[in-house]
Amino acid sequence: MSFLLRLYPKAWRERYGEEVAELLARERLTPRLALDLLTGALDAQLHPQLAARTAHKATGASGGATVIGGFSFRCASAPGMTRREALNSALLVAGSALVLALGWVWLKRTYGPTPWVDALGQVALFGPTLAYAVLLGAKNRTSTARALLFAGLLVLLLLINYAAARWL
Amino acid sequence: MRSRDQEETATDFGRFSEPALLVLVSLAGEPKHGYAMIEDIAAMTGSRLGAGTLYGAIARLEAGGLIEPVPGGERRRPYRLTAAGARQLKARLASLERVARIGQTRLAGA
Repeated sequence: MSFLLRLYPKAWRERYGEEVAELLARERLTPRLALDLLTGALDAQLHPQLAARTAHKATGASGGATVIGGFSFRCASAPGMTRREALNSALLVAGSALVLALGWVWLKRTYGPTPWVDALGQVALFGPTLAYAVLLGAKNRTSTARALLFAGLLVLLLLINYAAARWL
Repeated sequence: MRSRDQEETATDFGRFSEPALLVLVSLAGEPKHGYAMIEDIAAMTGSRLGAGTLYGAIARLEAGGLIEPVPGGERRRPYRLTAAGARQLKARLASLERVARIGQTRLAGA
């Protein structure tokens, strides 16, 4: 079950990983528990500042480091992110959501409500945010790798939505 | 130190509101590790929290200053309520008690 913990952000794993691993050692892996851990990982990726705050408190940082840590927390959207990186990430999410939404509107007007068009509409709403959450865990990868991961996740979401619309 | 307004907004936990409340109630008795909280909450509610949900609530409560690890030399420390956490819990339970009383009165009169 410890492989599921690797989906959590690094700062979160440093703060809570050992406790959770010990807890999981006493539990049986069921689909319900696996899903609970997956949604927990997604939540932790979307809110990396929670673990950053508590990791900071837990290490008992000195006064100067606390001031720097607090400033960094306020300016960045994830631990270790500079202000510029946070701004670029926000622009990526907002920009891709806008492009997808406009594409959906154009396709819907041109081709009508087909399963592919509807799938694109659903991905446009939450796909970029979801893909960004996973990107936070890939911060140390190259730009190309991150771009491919982001695009690949959006395509995967599109395929899942299409399959759901078509066969469920 | 947090102001009272900051404490109120610190408890806006969305889908983690109920698990967070259960964690606070569990810690109101005595400090506990995560597994003990799960067992205690299961005994209280009949429902077992998953580790993902539990630690989502713990992270929020700790970041909000409502719980903290017990100081000590161990790496794996139990959690306890802070003074702010005890105040929040007391206010929340008072509110729930009022709602429960009103609900029961209305049902009795219906």
